[in-house]
Amino acid sequence: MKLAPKLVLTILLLLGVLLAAGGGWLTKTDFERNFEQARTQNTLAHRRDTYSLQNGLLAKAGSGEITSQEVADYGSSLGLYVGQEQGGFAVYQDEQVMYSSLPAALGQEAACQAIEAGEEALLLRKAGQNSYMLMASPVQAAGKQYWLVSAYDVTNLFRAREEKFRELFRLELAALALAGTAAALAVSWMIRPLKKLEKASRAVAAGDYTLSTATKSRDEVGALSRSFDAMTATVRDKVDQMEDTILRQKQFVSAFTHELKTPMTSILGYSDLLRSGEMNPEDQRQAVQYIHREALRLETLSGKLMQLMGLVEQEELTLEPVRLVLVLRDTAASLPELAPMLDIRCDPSLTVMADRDLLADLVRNLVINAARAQPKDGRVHITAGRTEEGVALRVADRGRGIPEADLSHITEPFYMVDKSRARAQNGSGMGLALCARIARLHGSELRFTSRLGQGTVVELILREGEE
Amino acid sequence: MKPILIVDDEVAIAQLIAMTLARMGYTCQMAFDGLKAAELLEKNEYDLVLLDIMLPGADGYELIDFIRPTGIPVIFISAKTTVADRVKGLHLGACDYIVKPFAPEELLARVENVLRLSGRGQALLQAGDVTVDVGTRQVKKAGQEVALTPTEYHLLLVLLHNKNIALYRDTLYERVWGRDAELDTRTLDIHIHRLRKKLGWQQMIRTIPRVGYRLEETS
Amino acid sequence: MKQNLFTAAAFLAAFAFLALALAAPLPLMEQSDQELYTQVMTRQLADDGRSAQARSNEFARQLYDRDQLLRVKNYAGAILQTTTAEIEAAAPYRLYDFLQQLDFWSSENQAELEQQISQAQRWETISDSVGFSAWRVYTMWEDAEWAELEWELSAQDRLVRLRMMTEQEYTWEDLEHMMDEYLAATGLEEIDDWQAVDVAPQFYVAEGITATLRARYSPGAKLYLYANYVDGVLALGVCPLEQEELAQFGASLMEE
Repeated sequence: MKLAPKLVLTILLLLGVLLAAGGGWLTKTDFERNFEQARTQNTLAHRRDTYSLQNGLLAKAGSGEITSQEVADYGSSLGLYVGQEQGGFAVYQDEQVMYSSLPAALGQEAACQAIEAGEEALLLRKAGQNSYMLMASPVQAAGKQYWLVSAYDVTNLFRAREEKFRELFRLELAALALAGTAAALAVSWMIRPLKKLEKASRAVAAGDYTLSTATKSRDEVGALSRSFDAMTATVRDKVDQMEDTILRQKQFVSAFTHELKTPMTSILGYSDLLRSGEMNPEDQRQAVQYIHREALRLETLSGKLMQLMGLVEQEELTLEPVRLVLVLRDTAASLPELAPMLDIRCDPSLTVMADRDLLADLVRNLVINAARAQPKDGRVHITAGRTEEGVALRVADRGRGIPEADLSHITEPFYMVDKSRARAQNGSGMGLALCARIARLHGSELRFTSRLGQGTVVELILREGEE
Repeated sequence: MKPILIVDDEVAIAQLIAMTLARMGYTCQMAFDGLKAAELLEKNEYDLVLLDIMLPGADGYELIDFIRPTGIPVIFISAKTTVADRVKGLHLGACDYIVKPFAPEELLARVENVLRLSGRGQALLQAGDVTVDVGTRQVKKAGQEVALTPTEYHLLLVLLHNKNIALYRDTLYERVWGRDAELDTRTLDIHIHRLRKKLGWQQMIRTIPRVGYRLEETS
Repeated sequence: MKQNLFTAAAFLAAFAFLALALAAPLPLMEQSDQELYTQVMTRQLADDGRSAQARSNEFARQLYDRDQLLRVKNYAGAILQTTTAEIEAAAPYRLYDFLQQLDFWSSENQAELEQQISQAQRWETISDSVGFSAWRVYTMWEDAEWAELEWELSAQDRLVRLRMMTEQEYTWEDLEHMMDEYLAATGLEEIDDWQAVDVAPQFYVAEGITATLRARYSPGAKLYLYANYVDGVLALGVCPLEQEELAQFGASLMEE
C-alpha cells in the first residue's frame, strides 16, 4: 500500500480505538455516577417511607393490635401521598402480602428476595421493559414485624445511557470520517515532496539527471530531497566525467589501432610476398627493408605507449629536490647526435622538485621535436630561470613552427601535424603526449607558443626546491 | 591496357601494392598525396584507381568526387574498418572497399573482379594456348573446353597470377587448400601432375628443385 | 490497479473494525448489567464511619436518620419551627414515663415539672417523619417569671432532650450520674465508645453564677451527649454530631 493511505489508516485506527475506549469509559462512568445518585436518593426515600409506615402504624395501633385491613388501608393511604414515581411498595407480614402497589411484572419473587436480602441490601431487578431498585426494611408495630418493600423505577438510567451511547456512537463515526478526510488531505499534502522525489528518482534511473526536487520544507523529507538533488548533481558530474573519459579512451584506441595497422599492412604484405615465391634480389632487398623499418616503427610506438601506460597508472610522483643543470646534462648525454645543437642557459644552483629521470625524458622529447623542426639557426635553446610562478624551464627553436589550429591537439596521443614527415623521421605522435603526462605528474602543464615559420617555445613551470 | 593508379601516403604500402599487381602483369603508377594524384589523373588515363582515404592534401572522399565523372572505377583502401565507413565509401561510388591490413591475394582478386566488371581488364587470362575466362570459369585449351575440378581451377589461377615466379610449395599449398588443411604436399604434386596432363603443360609448369613450381611463359 | 483495490479493501476493513470497536462497549455494558441484576448491593452509601453497634441501635439510628433525611442539625432544638397546639393532656405522661425510669429523678424534680406543665400558658409542638416529637411550653415560674420548658421524645418514647428551670442544685457528679442513667434508659449504653469530653462555656459566665457542663461523645455513633446545669437551668440530651464539629462547642475529647 502507498504511504499516504498507510498513514491515514494508522491515524484512523488509533483515533478510532481511542474514541471507542474513551467513549466506552465515559459512558460507563456517567452511568455509574447516575446510578450512585439514584441509589442514594432511593435509599433515603426508602428510609423515609419506612419511618412513615412505622409511625403510621404506631399511630393506628394505639394500644390494640392492627388488623390486616388497617395495614392495607394505611398502605394505600400512604401510597397516595408517598410519591411513588412509577415504583410502588408492598407491606408484608410473615411472607404474606398485606398490600402491594408493586408493578405486576416484578412479581412476588422479587419482593421475597428483597426481604431475604435484609435491611442493609439493595437489589436491582428487571420487570418487563423497566428496571427497579428494591429495598426491604423491617417495621415493628404493636408487637408484630412487618416488612416494607419499596421499588423505585430506575429505567431512566438505562435508557439515558443507551441514548447517550447511541449519540456518542454517531458522533464518533462522524469524528472519524472527518478526521479521516482531514488526515488524508494533510498527509497527501505533506507527502507531495516524496512524490516529486519518486518522479525524480525514476528520471535518474532512466538516465535523465536534470530534474531537481527543490523542496523548501525543513523537515526530514526536505532534507532527503536536498540530499537527493545533491546526489543527482554528483551523479551527473561523474557520468559526464566518465563519458568524457570513455570518449577519450575510444579516441585513443581508434588512433592507436590505426597507427598499428599501417606498419602491420607493410609487414604482412611484404613477408607474404617473400614467402610465396622467388623474387628478384632488388625487390627482395626492398621488401626486407620495408619490413624492418615498419617493425622498428612498431617498436618505438609500443615503447612510447608502454611508458605512457605506466605513467597513466601512476597517480602521483615522489618529487625530490634536483639540480636542474644535472637533468639538462642527462638529456644532452642521451642525445649525442643533437648535443652540438644544444644551447643551455641555466643557473647551476637552481633546484626544482622533480623526478630526475622523467624530467630528463621530457626535455629529451622536447629537444627531439625542436630539432625535427629544422631550426634556422641550427640550435635548440634551453633556458631556465626564476619567475613569480616558480622555476620556468623553456625549450625554444626557430624552426617551422606549429599551425594555430593544431596547437590545442599536439599533446593528443598519435597526433601528428605532418604525418608523412613525422613518419619519415620515425615519429609516432606519442612524444608530446608523454611530455604532457610527465608535466601533469609534476603538478604543472606544458605551455606552447608558436608562430608558423618563426619557431616554437615550450614552457614548463616547476616548483623550486631546497637542496 | 592502361595502368593502374595507386594513391597512398605510405610509400611502403604503395610499393607493396605495385609489387603485387606487377606479378599479374599490371603496370602501376603511384601518387603519395591528393594533389599529386589529381595532377596525374588529369594528365593520364587509367584503368583503375586504388585510393587511400586518409591522405594529406585532398582526402580520399574529395578525390572520388573528382574521379567519378571520368568513369574510372575506384577501389578504396583504408584502415577504417567500421561498417559505417565502408558503407560510406561504397555509397560514394567506389566499386569496392579493401581494409588494411590485407592479403595481397585478396587485393589481386578484388582488382581483377572490378576490372572485369567494368569491362576494362583482361577478360581472359592467358598462358600459352590456354585461356581462362574468369567470368564464366571456362578453361579452353586451343579453343577446346577443358573440364577442371574446382581445386585444379584454383591452382591454375594461382599459377597464372604468378607467371614466371617460382612459387614455394608450402605457400602454394596454403593458397589453394587453406591454412587449416593438413599438410600433405603430396596432394599438391598430384594436382600439378593432373593439370600438366589436362593442359599439356608438362613443359610449362616447371618443377624447381628445393623450391616449388613455376609457370613459365616465354612471350 | 491491484494496489488500489488492496488499499480500498484495507480501508473498508478498517472502517468495519472501527464500527465494531466503537460499538464494543455495548456487550460489555450488557455483561455488567447482568451482574447488577443478579447481585445484592449494599445500601450503605458513603462510608459514614459509623460503627456496627451504632447502626444496629434503634435510637442511635433514628437520630442519625433524622439528621440525614431532614438535614437539620437539631442541637437542643435550636431551629425547630413549632406550631401552636392545644394542650395535650397525654403528652406529658410520655415524658413522665421516661423520667421515672431514671434513678436520680426525685419526686421534687417531678413536682417541679408537673407544676410547670400545669401552669403552662402556651404550647408549641412539632413532629417529624422519623417519629420524633418535640414540645415547647411557655409557663410561669415562681409566679413571677416566664419560663420555657422543652422536651423531645422519639416514637418509642425515648427522651431526646429536656430543658427545664429548676431550683435543685446539681453538681458535676450529679450530672455524670444523670448521663449514666440516661444512657441506660435509652439503650445507648450498648454503644461502648462513649468518651468524656472537655467542655468550656461558650457564653459569658457572670460572677456568682454556677455553670457546670458535662458531656460525652461517641465517635462510632457520632452522638454527642450533654448534661448542663447553668444558672438554674438543667439541660440534658443527645444529638448527632461529627467529630470535627465538637470544636464548635468548645468541646474537645479529653486525653485518655
